[in-house]
Amino acid sequence: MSTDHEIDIRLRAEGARWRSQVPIDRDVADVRFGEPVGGRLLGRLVLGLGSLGVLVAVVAVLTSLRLSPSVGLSDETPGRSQPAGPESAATPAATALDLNIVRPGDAVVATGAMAEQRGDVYLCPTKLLGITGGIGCLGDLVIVRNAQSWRGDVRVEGVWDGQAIEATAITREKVPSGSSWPPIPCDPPAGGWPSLPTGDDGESTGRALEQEVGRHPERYIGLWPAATTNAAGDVKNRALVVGTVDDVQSVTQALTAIYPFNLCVVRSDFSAAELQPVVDELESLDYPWHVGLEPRVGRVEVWTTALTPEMAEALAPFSGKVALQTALRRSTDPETRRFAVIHAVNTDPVNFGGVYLEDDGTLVILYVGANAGGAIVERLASGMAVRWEKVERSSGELRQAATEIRERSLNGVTWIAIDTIRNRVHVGVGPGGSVADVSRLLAEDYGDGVYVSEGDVLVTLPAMPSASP
Amino acid sequence: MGVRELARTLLPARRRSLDAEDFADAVRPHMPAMIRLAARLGPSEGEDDVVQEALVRAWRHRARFDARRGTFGTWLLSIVANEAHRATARRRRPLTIGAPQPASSPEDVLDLATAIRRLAPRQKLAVDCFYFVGLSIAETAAIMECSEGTVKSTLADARLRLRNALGSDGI
Repeated sequence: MSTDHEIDIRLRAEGARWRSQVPIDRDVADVRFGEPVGGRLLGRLVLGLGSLGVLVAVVAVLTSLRLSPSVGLSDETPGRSQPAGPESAATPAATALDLNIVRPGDAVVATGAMAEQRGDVYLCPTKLLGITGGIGCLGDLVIVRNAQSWRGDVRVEGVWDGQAIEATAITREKVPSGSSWPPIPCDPPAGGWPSLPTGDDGESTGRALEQEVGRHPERYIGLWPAATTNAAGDVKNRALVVGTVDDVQSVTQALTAIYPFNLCVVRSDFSAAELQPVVDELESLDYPWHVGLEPRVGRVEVWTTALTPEMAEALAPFSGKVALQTALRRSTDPETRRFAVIHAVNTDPVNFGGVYLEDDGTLVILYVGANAGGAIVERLASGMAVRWEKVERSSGELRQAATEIRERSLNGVTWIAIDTIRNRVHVGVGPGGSVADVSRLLAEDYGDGVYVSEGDVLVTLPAMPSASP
Repeated sequence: MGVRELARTLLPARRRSLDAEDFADAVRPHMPAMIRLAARLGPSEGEDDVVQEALVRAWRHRARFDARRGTFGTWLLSIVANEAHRATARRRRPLTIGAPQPASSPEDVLDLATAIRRLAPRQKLAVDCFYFVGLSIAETAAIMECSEGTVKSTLADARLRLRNALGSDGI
C-alpha cells in the first residue's frame, strides 16, 4: 500500500506532466481569428490583428458603447431598461422581438470600429483595442464588404447575408467612450455624497451589506457600485446601489442600519430569485448569445450580434424579464432598404428577371413563373413603392444567352448587353456586320429573347447607393 | 478597492481610467492559470471558449471585484471555474439520465487518471486545481469557496481515496 506522501508525489508528477502538455503560450486572440459571425458569441470574442502574441481581453464595453440600445421585450415593464431602438420603440413584446429579428438579406445598420486584417475589413461593434502587437476587438466581429477605404469609428448601413454586411453607406460616427461607472440613480443627500469609509469600517459594513443582499435573492435584485464622474471620466463620488422589489423607504432604513454610508436603494421590477432561473434557462440553450443578470438594468441582459427567429422564439416566454442588445439592427434608411431589395433580386437569377428603378422612385421587380422568390423580397420591400411584373425570362437565362452569343463570335457583333426592362438580350452590330443576318441566326435559338440593332444600346442598371467615404 | 483601483496600482499611470486595455493588462499575468484551469475543468478542447467567456463575464462584472475578498487572480480563476462547469454541463446536456456508474471494486486495476475521475466532485476539484492546474491552496480555496483548511483536508481525503483505489499495484 502506498503512503500519503507517495500519492502526493505521484500527483505532483502527473500534474506537472499534464501542465507541460497544455499549451498556454498561444495567443487567445489568435485562437478564433477570422471566424465570421455565426458560432457562439464568445467563441469569437477576440480578434487578434497583430501577428504576435497579443492577449486581448475583454469585452464589453458592450453595455453602453456600441451595441444597439437595450430593448425591453415587453411593454408591461419598461423599468429602467434603456429606450428601445428606432424600430421597436413603444412596441408590445412580440412585436419588439419580431422587429429586432435580422435575417439574411435584411437591410441593417451597425456602429463600431473598422479594422482590416489580411484583406478583409471587420467591424468591431463594441470596442477596438490598441494593444501590444496589434489591435483586437471585444465582442462579435462582423465582416464588412465594400468598405476597403474605411477605418475607425463608423456607422455602417448595408445588407446582412448572415455572415457579413454588404455596405451600402458608411459615415463617420464617433461614439463617446463614456464612463466605466454607472451613475448613481439617487439624489445626493443634503450636502452631497460624502467620501466612502475606509479601513475596517468600510470593509465590514460593505461586506455586511453584500451578505444581506445575497441572503435574500427574493427581496433584492443585487448590489452594484455607482459613481458620479466629471467630464473627463474621473470619479467624483461613489455609492453602493441596491435594487429591491420591496418598499424602497423601509429597505433604505433597514439597510442604512447595516451600511450607514453612501447607500442608494432603488425599486426593481424583479428580484434575483425571479431572474436567475431565466438566466439558467437561456444559458442552457445553445444560441450565440451572452446572458447575464444585470441588476443595473433590472433585467436579464441578452447580447447577440443578430437576433434570429429561433432566438426570438426562445426569448419570447421570458419577455418582460429580458433586455435585448443586438449589434445589428434593421435599418430604416430608405436607400439601404432599397439596396437590400435590389440585392435580393439580383442574387436570385432563377426566380427574377431583374429589377429597375422608375423615375418616380418605384422599384419594378421582374419575376418569372410563380414568383417563388417573392415572399422574401416582399418582406424586404415592405412599405416601399414597388410594382411587380411577370416576365418570361429569368436573369440567369438572359445571362446564359448573352454568354452563348458572345462565344459564337458572330460577324459584326460589337457588343452584347442585357436589357432588363425589355427582358431580352440586346446585341449591337457594327460596321461590317449585317443586322438582318445576325437577327436571323439568333432568332432560331432565342426567338424574341434577343434583339439586334445598330446604334446605341439601352441598358438599364439599377441605382446602387454609394458606400464610398 | 475595485478593479479600477487595482489596475491603477498594477499598471503604469498612463491612463486615468480603467479601460479595456487596462483590464487586459491586469488579466494577462493570470492567463496561463486561467487556460490550464479551463482545460482541466471544462469540456475537452473547449478551454479557449471557456476562458473567453470568463473574460467577458469578468469585464462586465469588473465593478464587483472586491480586493477585500481575495486577489484579482483568484477572482478571475473563480469565474473561469464557474464558466468551465457551465460549459461542461452544457455539453453533457444531451445525455440521458441513467443508472449511476458502478463504484470501483477492489479488483479493479485503475490508473491514476481513472481513479481521479472517480473521486467525489469536491475532491476531484481540489486535486485538479492544486495538483494539475498548479494553483496554490489559497487560490484553490477561492475557487472552492471554502477555507484553506478545508482544501487541505479535502486533498488529504482525496489522497486517501486514491490510495485505496489504486492499491500498491496502481503506484
